[in-house]
Amino acid sequence: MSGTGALMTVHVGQCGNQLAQAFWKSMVDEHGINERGQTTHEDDMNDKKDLLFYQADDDHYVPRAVLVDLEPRVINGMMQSPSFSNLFNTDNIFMSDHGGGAGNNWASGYFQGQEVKEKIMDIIIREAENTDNLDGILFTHSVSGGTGSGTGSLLLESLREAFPKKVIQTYSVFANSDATGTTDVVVHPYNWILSMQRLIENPDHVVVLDNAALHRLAAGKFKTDTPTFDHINSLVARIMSTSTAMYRFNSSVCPSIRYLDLAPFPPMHFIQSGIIYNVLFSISPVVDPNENFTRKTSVADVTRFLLKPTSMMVSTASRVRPNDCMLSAYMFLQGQIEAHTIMSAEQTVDFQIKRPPFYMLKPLRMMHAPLSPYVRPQYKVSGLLLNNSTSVAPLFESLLSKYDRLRSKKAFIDKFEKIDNFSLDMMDEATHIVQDLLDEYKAVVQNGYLTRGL
Amino acid sequence: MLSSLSFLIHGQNNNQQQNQTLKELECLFLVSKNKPVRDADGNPLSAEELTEDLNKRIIKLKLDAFQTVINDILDKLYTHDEALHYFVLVTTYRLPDQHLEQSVKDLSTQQNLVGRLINDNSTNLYIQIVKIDDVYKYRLYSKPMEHNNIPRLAWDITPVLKTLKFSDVDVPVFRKNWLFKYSYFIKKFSAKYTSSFKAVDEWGLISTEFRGILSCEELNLSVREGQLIEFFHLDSLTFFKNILDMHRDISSDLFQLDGDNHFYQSRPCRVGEWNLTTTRIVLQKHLFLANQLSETVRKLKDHFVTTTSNSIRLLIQRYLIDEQHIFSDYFELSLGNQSALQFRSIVESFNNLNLLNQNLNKFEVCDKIYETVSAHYHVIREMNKVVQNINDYSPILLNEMSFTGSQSAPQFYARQMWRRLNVSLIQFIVKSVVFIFLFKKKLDNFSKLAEMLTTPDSELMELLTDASDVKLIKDPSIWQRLNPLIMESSQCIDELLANRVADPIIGYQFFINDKKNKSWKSDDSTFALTDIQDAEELELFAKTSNFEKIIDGILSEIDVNSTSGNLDELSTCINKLLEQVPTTMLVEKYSRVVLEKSVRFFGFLKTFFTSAYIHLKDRNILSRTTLDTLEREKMHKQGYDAEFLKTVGYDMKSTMEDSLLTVNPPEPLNVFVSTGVTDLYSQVFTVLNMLHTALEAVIETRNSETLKHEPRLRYAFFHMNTTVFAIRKNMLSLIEASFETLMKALDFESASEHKSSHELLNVCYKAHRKFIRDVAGALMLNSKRGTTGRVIRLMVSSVSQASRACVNGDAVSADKHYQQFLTNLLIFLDQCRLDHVRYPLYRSLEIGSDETDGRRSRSSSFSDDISCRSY
Repeated sequence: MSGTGALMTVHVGQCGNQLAQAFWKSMVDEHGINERGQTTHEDDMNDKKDLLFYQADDDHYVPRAVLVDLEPRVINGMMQSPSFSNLFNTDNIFMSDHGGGAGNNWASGYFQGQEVKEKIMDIIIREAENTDNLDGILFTHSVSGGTGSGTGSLLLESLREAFPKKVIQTYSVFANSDATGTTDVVVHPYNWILSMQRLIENPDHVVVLDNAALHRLAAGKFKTDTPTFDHINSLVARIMSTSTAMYRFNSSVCPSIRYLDLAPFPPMHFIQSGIIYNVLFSISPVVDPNENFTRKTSVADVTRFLLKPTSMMVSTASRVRPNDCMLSAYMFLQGQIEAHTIMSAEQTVDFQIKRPPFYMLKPLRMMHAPLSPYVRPQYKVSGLLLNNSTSVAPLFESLLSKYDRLRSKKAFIDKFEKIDNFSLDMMDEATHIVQDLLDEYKAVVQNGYLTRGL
Repeated sequence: MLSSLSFLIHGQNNNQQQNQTLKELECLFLVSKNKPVRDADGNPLSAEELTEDLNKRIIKLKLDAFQTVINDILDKLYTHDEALHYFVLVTTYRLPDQHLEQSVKDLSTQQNLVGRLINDNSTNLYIQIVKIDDVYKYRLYSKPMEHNNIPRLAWDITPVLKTLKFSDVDVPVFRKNWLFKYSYFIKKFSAKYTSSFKAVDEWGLISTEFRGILSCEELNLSVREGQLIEFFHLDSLTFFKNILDMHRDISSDLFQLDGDNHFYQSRPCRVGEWNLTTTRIVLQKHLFLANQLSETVRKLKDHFVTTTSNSIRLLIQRYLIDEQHIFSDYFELSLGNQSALQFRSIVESFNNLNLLNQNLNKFEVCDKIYETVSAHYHVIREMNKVVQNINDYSPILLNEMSFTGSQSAPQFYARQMWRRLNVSLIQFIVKSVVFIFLFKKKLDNFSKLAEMLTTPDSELMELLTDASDVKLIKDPSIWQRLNPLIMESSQCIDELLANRVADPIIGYQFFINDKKNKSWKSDDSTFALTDIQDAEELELFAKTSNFEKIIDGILSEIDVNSTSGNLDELSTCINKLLEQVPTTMLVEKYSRVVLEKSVRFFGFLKTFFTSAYIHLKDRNILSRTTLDTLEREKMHKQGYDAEFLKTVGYDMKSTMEDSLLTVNPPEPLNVFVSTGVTDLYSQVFTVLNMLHTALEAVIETRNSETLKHEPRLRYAFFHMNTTVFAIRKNMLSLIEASFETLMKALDFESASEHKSSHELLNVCYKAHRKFIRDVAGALMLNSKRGTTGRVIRLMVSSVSQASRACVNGDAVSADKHYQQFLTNLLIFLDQCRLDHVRYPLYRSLEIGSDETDGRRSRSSSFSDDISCRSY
């Protein structure tokens, strides 16, 4: 199968749908579509609207999105806003009848989901069948709550089963792992570990969005101590939009999500992202925002910045371990960039990158990502790094240790046990799998990785 | 007084009548009164001067022997009677030499003043004159006879007294050399004078007149021939008239035509004081020239045609006829015939020969005539060559030739002739230029016009020639690349301007063709449809009628009579004209449309050939000449320009694997995609397609079960993926960079320098050529053409085979192909290394690329221990 296929988005849970809101807001802007799905600009040749939208009979554009939640609050709020009320296909929205939600409980979400899985999958399969050439599914959810993690996990399993060859890429918001940080979900390590098993087993790529890091970066970017969800969501939307820009705006270098080869050694497919998209406000608190006034952002600057461990949207990434390696990474640069500057930047950054010892190739691929022809960029150069690095492991280790602490105390375990069909074996199995993943991360930086087991 | 006078004149023993003496007295009186002998200034000569003159005369006449006698007499008269002395001097002055000589000899001998020595034996001692061998000797102590102290004159002045009118003042001395003004034949001449000539004088001697006649050439000739000779003796005007007539091919009494229509001199001739020989010599060269000229003119007339479509031939014929008239008119004017001059204004500017002038120098005039005629002849002779091979001469060539002639011909007349040709050619060319722009008449329908324009032998081709191959044109414009028409250039019209003339014409041809196409089919594939409105065009053509005026205005500045040598005249006219011709504006607008379309077309080509393979599902179709409609529609949905999509097709004939696609854009866009360019685009397509196929194959393996527990293979596929991706990305980025450059070059809006659209089209063409070269470089097609492609193909097939094996679960075979891939990769990198510019891009692909120069990797083993890299 060739050609540039379409993408579908599936948004699950409160967080997933909030991200949907931010994401689709920016999508309609970037593709020149108004709140009624009509084009606002003359068509540009490079604008591939049909990647994310399909045209209804009256030719207006409808997002190829499926919204799923066990409680109606977020989706209803979204549907009441003038921007979205006429945009989405209401047939693609699934809200649970009783509307009670999953109560931040993975098991609740997972098993409630099983009751409605058929319905949801019907929607998704119908939507997929309406598309000639579906290449992949973008999945947004959080792994700390109930619906996103529980129902999300279930849906990921179903999606993989239904679409074994499609690329499934999740944007998974991980709970604040910071010891000092506050989180409203005390059982999030349980939720996380159960979700993690599905994230390891099902999707092709998991873009890890660490809430703590998001908070930190949003605070830096929006110059506020208490960034709102909107701030954070817009950041995530930005990551999603940039990471799909190549496909949406007709890049021949990487015309489809299938070309993204971020996970050469599954299941190590947990992607950290780093983003820089404003010359005025660096998203990193490490860099003095004022510093940027005094110098011009160049491709080299952006590259250098993105490759710093602190730029990663994973809170543990700053804990740099000496043998952390980059397995595969894509850097998308946007803005007024001449082709040759990227090529020269690529040559200069090569030596900065640490690779697994057996690598005889360069894991970082830098490319110019096109911009929306309709939106005037406010910045000269911006960039996104999707980085599959072993440096993501400390986050998992930290979360695993939190889980272990909670589990050893059997704290709140009853909440899970009371859910029908749930057994603690599921948690234990998940723990093993996560442990295996962490082992994998340790092994891959070793010399004998390739010949292991031979 | 009377007796004294009588004695003085007639001597003692005169028996003359009284009244004759009285008449002589009257003479004496009048001479004293009027002093008729004057010098050049009209002042009377004094007695002394006259005496001196007489002395000279005596010496001249070799009367030295009588010197003393004469001086004696004059001295005596001077002492006794001044009036008589003066009178005698005057009359003697008037006395013809012969008479003086004779009478002085006779009378002095008679008076025994002079002795005559007779050297014979009959010595007469009583003879007091001494006359020996006809030599007179003065007798010493002899005295003239005297009466009242008045001596008797020793010479006879009576003839003078009989004929002279003393009331007349003498004419200036120089007029004594008066010329013959008569055009009578020698017979008449003789008849008139023979009677007064005496061959022998009363002394039995041959008279001087007769001696003159005896030395006459004609008589000698006659005697030699033994018969009478007849010859013309002409005055100069008649003579010149005859010569001029001959040069104008008109026979006369003097010059007649023989059977071959050649002039010959019918009789010997002399002109004025020239004798027959002089005249003959002078006439010889004129005759020769006149025959040359008439011969050439006759030949020329043979080549004249009455009907021809070749307007340059007509022009030359017209010119030659006019020149004959001018030639003739010039002579008419010189002969003083003012009336009925056809080309008065022209001939009046010439140097008038002024034949009516009596004092002209005949040699000089003859030479002038000769020069003029020979100038005329030489030009005519050149033109004869031209007329004979009229097809070898273009207006431009002739213009240059005539310009050179007008500058460098040796004779003024010839320069003028060339100049006239030059001017008429300038007019012709300028009109032709307008003509081809306006297409002679307003044409009612454009299809007719289009037909006319596109027929190769139509009239406009007179000025434009088909260069047959664009390579023969230096620095061709894009229009010329489409249709290699050139206007000739010369030193009078440079190539740039010539091309400026040719460009709008060819452009217009294409515009018209476009229009024609439009009337046939109703799709929007033509350029002229909406962009340039018919109405506007018609309005432009409505101006046609004004063009006569405009041309006249432009041409009015050319002065036929000036040979100042302004090289730029033609260029100036054409430049002015180009500014005014509506076609130029039209083509300019059309060019702009084409230009905009070209830029879009380049964009399409680049996008299509770098990405279409992604969308073309069935890439093995070889049976269709164009992409079929369905496919096209699908492609159009992908954002490819539907209009240009139609131009792309598969090449059915091609056997080469990498030139599958053809591009056949509508005129005039086809200029940008020559076979070579299409070939290159096709190769771009093929190479990128191969890479893409390989990449697709690798991607397919991602979920393969084979890889699950084979980290080595995973790595292998990841390696292949990265490598193919990087090569592909580098190529695409380089093409993108080249395209950016192209687009920058074509960003005419922001260009500071204003250029006309068709100049911009040339910029466009060059920029695209550069782009093509850059693309070829990006794909490394230019160095070791084909080799890189083959290596890439090998690599790619290894990748595909490995992938296939992997998907089929054959890990061993997959690994084998991977090894093969590594080998090919090394070859590829070896080739890259040769390309210094692009090698840095591929350096990262070096296996174990720690060493930037890649040396280690060449020597290192990549085969067995792939984990050898120490970190």
